[in-house]
Amino acid sequence: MDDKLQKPFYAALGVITLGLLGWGAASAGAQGIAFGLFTALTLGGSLICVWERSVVRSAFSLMGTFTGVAGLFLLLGADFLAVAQILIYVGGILALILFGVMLSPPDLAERKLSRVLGGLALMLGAVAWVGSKVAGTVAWATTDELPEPTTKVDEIGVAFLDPEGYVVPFELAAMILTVALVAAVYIARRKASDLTDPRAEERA
Amino acid sequence: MDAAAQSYSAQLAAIAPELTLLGVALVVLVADLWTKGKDGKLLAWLSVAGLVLVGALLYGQSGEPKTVFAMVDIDQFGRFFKLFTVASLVVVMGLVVNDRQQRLDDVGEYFFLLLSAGLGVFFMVSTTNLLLLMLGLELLSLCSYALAGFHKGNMTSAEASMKYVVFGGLSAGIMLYGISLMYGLTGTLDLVEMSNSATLAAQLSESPVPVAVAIVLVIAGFAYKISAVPFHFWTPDVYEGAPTPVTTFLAVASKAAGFGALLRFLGAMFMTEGVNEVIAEYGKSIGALLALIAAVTMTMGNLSALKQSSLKRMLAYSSIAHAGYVLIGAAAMTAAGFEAAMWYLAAYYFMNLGAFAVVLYFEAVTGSDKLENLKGLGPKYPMVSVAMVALLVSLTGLPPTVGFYGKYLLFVEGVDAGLMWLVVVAALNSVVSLFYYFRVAKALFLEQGEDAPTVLCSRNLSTLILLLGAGSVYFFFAPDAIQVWAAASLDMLGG
Amino acid sequence: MNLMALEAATTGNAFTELLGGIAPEGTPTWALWLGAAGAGVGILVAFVSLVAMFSVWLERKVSAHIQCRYGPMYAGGWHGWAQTLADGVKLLLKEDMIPLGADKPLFMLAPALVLGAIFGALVALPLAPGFFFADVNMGLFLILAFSSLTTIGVVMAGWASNSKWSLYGAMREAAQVVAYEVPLGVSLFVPLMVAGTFSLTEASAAQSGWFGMHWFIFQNPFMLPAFIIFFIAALAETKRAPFDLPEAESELVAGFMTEYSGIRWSFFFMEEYAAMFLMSAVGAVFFFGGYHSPLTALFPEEATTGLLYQLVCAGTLIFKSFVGVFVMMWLRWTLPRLRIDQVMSMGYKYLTPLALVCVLGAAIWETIFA
Repeated sequence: MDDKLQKPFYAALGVITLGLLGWGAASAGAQGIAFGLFTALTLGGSLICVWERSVVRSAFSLMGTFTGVAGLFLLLGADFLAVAQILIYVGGILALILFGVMLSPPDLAERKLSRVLGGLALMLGAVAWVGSKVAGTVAWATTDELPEPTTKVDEIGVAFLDPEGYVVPFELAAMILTVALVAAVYIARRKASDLTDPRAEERA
Repeated sequence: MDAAAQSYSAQLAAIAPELTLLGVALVVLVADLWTKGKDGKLLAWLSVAGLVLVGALLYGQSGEPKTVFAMVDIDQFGRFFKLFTVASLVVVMGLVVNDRQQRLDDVGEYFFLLLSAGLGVFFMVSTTNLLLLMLGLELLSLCSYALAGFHKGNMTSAEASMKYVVFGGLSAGIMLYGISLMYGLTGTLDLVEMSNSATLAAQLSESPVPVAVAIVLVIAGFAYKISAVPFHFWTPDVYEGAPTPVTTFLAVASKAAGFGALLRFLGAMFMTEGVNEVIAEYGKSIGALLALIAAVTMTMGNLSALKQSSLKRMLAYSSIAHAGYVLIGAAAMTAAGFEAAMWYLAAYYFMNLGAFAVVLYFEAVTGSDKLENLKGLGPKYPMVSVAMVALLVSLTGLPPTVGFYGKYLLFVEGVDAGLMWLVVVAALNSVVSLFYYFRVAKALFLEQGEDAPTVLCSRNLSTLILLLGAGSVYFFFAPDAIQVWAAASLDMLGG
Repeated sequence: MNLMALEAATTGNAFTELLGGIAPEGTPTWALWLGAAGAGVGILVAFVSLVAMFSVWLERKVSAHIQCRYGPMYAGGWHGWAQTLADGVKLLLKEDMIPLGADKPLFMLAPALVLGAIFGALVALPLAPGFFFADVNMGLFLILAFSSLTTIGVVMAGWASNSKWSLYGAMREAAQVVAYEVPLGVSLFVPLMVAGTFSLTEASAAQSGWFGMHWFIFQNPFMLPAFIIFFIAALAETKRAPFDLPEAESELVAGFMTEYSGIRWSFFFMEEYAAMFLMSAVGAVFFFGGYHSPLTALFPEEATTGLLYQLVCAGTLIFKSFVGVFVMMWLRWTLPRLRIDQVMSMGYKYLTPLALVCVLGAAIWETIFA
């Protein structure tokens, strides 16, 4: 993939990252740097995911997004959520996605500058419009102090099984997983009789 | 109701139908393992018996609305849709057994998935908590994906499943994003709490855009489930490719569940007692959006149905159109409008279940669902064909059928709510729909087909079709039976 | 501006305290913090290198003795102890080769990712009550999360190499790890239920009684099967024989690392041995008493804060871990490799259900007897 636009894209990404880091450092010191880093990871990962022509590269870039989000959780004091994010998304889901797309070829079609710029303009326009409507009107919940990093895993566990909490969604999620397992096994299982079309049999 | 005052066992008793359904599903799964998948009939009977039990439990439930486990609402509204689901599942099970294209060994998963889908519906129509609603929706969707691809050797079935998964995944993502925005704006997942949230009201009077984005995204998720334009693309392909009983399930139970959840969403968000005035006012704009979707949906559905050559595909487009009609009731944003929508759904139960059962019947006879194969079959299979004509009349919305009465109610409520233009569009659409429904009747009775030997088909199936056809006429003369139900169901609005 | 939370997060970190003691008055906090982080990373790298060097030497010796050979005997003198050092120097000096068809950035990123992930996992491993990089409450969870990250690195390496051997290796790795992550995690629930914490320090501390033998493995009858499941799953996670399909040399040349050479290749090697050590250490902490043994129990209560006690603890844990590593090597040179379908059916059909049964049984046992 010899792509003229590849370098400008990654250069822009680098500039954005540095900008985020600098902005973070300027506004909130060390924590700001951490926030900038995780935001850059999240944003950069998702941008690369959209940009890259090879599905596998896109999938790998998701790793940045997932770990970035995990980092943001960590900054908010949700350590269990952060680690679960890495364990489940990167260790499980991403590995599965990769397993699925690893054999797919890259899209070799030439990237058109006009389309890229058009898409960019559209995106920026939409963001600007919504942003202008949202900024200043939404009552953001802000705080000067990040929460103390405490373990909330006990609370989460209790809430899952508390009748006044989330016991029904928790058990329903268990049912969803059972169904997913049964359905996946059914779809994936191959028997000789499965491969014949029952309708074809009928017609014959 | 004070949830804390209820004992744990009382709360469990309140969700007894759900627990029973879960138990039945698991029993079927294990029974399948036990019989080594050889006895499909047994599993079908087991499922139907279980469903009857669930139905009986639901029927015996007291009408007193209450909330258990902090987020499950047990009320008439939920009961209406749960009984609807149970009743359609029973018919679908009947279709599965009579599906000539379905082997009856190794089908344990079929019943298990259908029952689990029913469980998903049970929870999604009986909660105002967006988390539980989403989980119920996902359970229903997951089952539907696998069911659509149940004929593994069949390429169209596999294609149907794949398309369904892709569209479903996308719309679930969209909906979740909307839900997360709503949570961010209000700090709660409960719709009733949202509806009187001061922050949300303040936000609305400041700038409605963030709220609009959130709500539109959530509605997009519902639109996918009820296959409203522009989230209808999956419908024809999936309906055509999926095994016919599954198509029936998707067209009737799954769609009704989508409407159930949508009505509860709108009701809890904008119409309950104690809703913030600003938010209730904003509901009008959402109603206008729904009216627009309704108009486009019914027009798209009907126009596309005109030129279909496959009966299943035609019915798929027709079911899109019907979603448009039902949306009139939702768009009215009045209690009476909701009542009309629910009445129409009950009518839809008879006519669409019946129509798909006929498709299955003729599939068994001719081996395909092509319209041209139906030519001249009317005199040969008189009972089924006459029932089909009754069902078609009902689908068109002509008297003396439930379809007419349902549409009449919807139109009246639409006009009452000031949606005159929408009612005119709907009336025009009904005229258009006459053309393609009539094509089926014409093919059955007025055209000559090749002389093929009469194939004996299951008597059970024709009895089922006759019952559904009779039902679609009977309730025209006895509309109150459904009316009482639909009216009582509005207890979810807190009235 | 808001360093308070960070300080709170790093208190108990020996390095910050130590540096705070030495540093001149008025050193900014961030400098202390950075210095501590640097020192931590340095020690971690040194530790991993040492573990890997020793393990490689051990592996060669163990394999040799199992096969009635001597193994390396010359480098360094005594039983070829410096063999790995010599190998390391050689690998460092080798030409850095990247295949022409490879996806260059990913090819270069993969080994770093693999090694970085294992460093991340080791951060949560306490060697002694006072020797740890970070006493994370989520300790075990963090270790599992980071070691699952290495999978992505391996898959990345296999795909970026643009060679069919590598790709096959990567696909096997992805399939295998997804299959064994579940029994690995689930079997650890059994000791977790007894410990009541994810933290490795707390889990170790909970096993101090019975003259240093109050190990979780003796606590209920479901511990032993859980440990066996854990150990098998750990073998699969660390790609060790009989689960070394991702690099099966008789079929795939060297699997996902076929195209790698020099220092990048040695990164994968280091990761493998560090992961073996880590998994054994986790097993030791959650089943075999952590850093407690009769030896540590000899110390009177007031001596437990002393340096000697800490060293004995660390030595105990390292010894226990190396016993695990030794067993892994022993298995490798004894058992033939499984076929991929055998690996899959073992993971999904046997280990996962058995692990669930263990959890259920242990839960019932703990409810009744504890």
